[in-house]
Amino acid sequence: MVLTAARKEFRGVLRDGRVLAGALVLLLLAAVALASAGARYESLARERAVAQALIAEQWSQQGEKNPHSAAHYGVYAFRPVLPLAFFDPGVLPYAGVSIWLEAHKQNFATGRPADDMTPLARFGELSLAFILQAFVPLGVLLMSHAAFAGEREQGTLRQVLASGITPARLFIGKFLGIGAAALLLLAPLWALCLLALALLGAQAPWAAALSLSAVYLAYFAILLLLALVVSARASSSQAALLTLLAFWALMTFVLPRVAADVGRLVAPTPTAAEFQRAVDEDIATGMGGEPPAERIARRREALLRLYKVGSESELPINFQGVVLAIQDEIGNAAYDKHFAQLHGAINRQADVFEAASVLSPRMALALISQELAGTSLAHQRHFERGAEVFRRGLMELLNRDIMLNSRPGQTDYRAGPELWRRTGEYRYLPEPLRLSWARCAAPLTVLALWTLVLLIAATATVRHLRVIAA
Amino acid sequence: MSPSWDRFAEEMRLLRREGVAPWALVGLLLLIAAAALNGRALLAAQDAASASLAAEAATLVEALAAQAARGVPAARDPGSVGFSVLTRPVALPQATLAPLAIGQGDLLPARYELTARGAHQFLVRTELDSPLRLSVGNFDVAFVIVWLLPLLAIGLSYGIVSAERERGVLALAVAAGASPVRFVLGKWGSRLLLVIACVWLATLLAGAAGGALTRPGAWILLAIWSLAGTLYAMFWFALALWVNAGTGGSERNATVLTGAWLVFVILAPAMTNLAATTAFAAPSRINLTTELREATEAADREAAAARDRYFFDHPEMQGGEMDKRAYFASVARSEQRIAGEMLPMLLAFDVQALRQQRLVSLLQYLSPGTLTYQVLTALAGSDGARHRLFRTQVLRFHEQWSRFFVARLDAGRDLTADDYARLPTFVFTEPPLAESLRQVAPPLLALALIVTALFAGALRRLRRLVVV
Repeated sequence: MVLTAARKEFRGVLRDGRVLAGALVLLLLAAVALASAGARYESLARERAVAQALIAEQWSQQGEKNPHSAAHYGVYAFRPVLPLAFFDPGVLPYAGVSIWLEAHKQNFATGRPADDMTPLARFGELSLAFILQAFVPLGVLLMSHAAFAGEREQGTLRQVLASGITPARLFIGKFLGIGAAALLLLAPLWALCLLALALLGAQAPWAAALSLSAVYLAYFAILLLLALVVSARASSSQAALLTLLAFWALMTFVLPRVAADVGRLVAPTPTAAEFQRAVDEDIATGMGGEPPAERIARRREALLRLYKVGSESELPINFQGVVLAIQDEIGNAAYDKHFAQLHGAINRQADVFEAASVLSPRMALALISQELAGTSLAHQRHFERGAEVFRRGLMELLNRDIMLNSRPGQTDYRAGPELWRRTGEYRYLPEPLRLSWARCAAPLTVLALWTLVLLIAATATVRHLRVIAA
Repeated sequence: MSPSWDRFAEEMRLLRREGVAPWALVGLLLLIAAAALNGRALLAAQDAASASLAAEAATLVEALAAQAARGVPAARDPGSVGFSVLTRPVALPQATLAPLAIGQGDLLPARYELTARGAHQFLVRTELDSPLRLSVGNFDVAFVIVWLLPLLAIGLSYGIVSAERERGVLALAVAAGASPVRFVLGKWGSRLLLVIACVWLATLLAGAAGGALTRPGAWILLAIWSLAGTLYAMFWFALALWVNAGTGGSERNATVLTGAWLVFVILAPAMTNLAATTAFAAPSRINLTTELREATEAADREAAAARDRYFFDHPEMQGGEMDKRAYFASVARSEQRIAGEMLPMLLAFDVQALRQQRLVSLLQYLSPGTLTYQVLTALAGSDGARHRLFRTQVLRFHEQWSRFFVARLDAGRDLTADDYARLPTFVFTEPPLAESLRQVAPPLLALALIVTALFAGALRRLRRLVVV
């Protein structure tokens, strides 16, 4: 009986010319989004690889110079383009792509791609993820809003139930039938994405792609469940349609913006100028503790005592290297403090967004999608953190070289290519997928809650299913 | 009472009975007020930051002037002051309607901190914000008007004919001797009038909540803003009338109108952005980074050569440091050289942005949603044009600021307390109001033409209206 009901719904959906036309338009849109993202991905990946190689070459061929001059010259870290960014660009268009790793300063990532877009980009970028998060749900709702309400209006619901099928089985049949039709209509789009991935060869992140497929399917299933519950409870198919459309517009377009702006009001970020002044102040005062000059003097005394000498020039090491290391210690502590505050504010904003996703499964899905695609805030943070760890290691190496290899008081000390080669270069390695999954716990819980609530609602609805239109 | 007024009053009674409609209208007003307050809060934070920077800079100038008067060398040295001590913050004042449409206002810099160093130093800096928030977009009045107003219009008009036909009311009215077209237009016009009144009231409310009413040109700008909102609402009502003039049921009409919303409000703007950024892709920021590095390296080599020449000329200084004046003269030359190479590259971004904007200006006619958004952001000064103008003026001012110090450095003149009083000041020259009006006139005219054509088409279709 369930299968018969499912088959009937399946055929009904596929016979509807509007549904087929909608699916075709969707496929065309997805092809356009995929082609443009693919082309962009290829050129960006090439450009960043070339730039990274160029920076490495500039560093290794900078000639002989004082290691501290080299530290000020610095290197750049470029965020590589991850393959699934073509599917879901996430927050990356609004985050910087490169960081200058130089002496004394932890710089921000700069060069946000969004700075070079038109104002219309704020309407939403036409990505595959956007199409799947915004358009496909609309299709699911349109396909299923009349599943019960329409039949009730036409009087066929009574006939179907008279044939002996229970309301619960009919509900399951409709769910399976419409779901199967939706899957069939989405299959070309899915195949297109898989084909694009296959073109990447060994680089293709299959595990993440399959995870994404599973989450998106779960999301569509939730919406289908919601549409069937609303359809079964609505007074008419028109009422069901309007309710679902209003919900779709709210959860897809309104709530995310409201939540993001509420987050900003709750936890505002400092301006760049305020941030830099606070850092400079902390560095100048030695983080409010011992002033840098006193700290340097104390270290000098300790070293003189240790080596039992009377002046810096008698030390077996160049004290200038120690001074640079102390300056970096203070600077690093100040940057740690203020970056922690900045990231704390941004995290609180993200928490508000995440909390609001209880009202909008689309927001929960967006968070999971960005995580799995490697384009979330956390991934950007991971890239920036890795770059900073590299910068500190690089500065330490250069300071140590001055300390150990130059004579006390020597200002014309020069290091050469051998040292530049020893520093290595920053290569960003994306986090393993399991860490992304771990960060998805909250939004996954939201999706699970929606599923649970809808299943309870569906059970209650089929128990008291109205058969005759009011 | 005139028959038209009676019709309007009757329609309002019916709407009140529908339950949801009055709440939806009140909801729209509240959303607009909340969005305006939100925009105001965002911009207030920016204003406060600018004011704090300006106050801090003014205090520093005062302190330096006092030190210069006392003969403190560091405060009298134009190189040290201009290149490393003193910054001049410059800020873009908020446009009158800025709180109503944030647009690009939270992405493009509205504040720079200038020194005598090259312009490339401050042009590449960006503000701190959450990438997640930026990627989601702002909840401002323009969003409510462009995205949500059509949904309200659709909700009030999708069954303007079909629902009456389905309930048999249309047939009854015709049987009672009413003209079906007049009946439908009366109903349609009443609802449209209500929404238009709501748009004007909401704009006033937004102006007050956004703190815009007392600003210069506010009333003219708010009137044009309301006009844009009115034409946009009329478009959706005219489209609903056109769709309703067919034989489809309410459900089909609602689906068609939602599809139109998706196309005009979501798809067309996204495709327009995609077309503009693909056809006129911005130069590579990565290349900019590597070029900057090469230019800096070349300038550094030149500075090192200058240092060698200096020590050749001043052998008595060997083993020590260059005197400050010679050092800063060498810095000034390096900065000039780097800026000379970098500025054309940085300006190439503006050139591409202008090309993109020109293409958007052409393609905007494909969607009333894009047209309205363009008008609203242009009126609010958040479409990018005002920020580009600000940057152009800042670049001109920076030349003046830089020259002030370099000229004294080259002439070997120390800074005096009077010099501090004569420091160049930046004043943003607002574009004339007429320019904004010229900019928004074509899209407004286009909206009016689209509405007229659609309404005429709907009227023609209504003549063949199926009553039962």
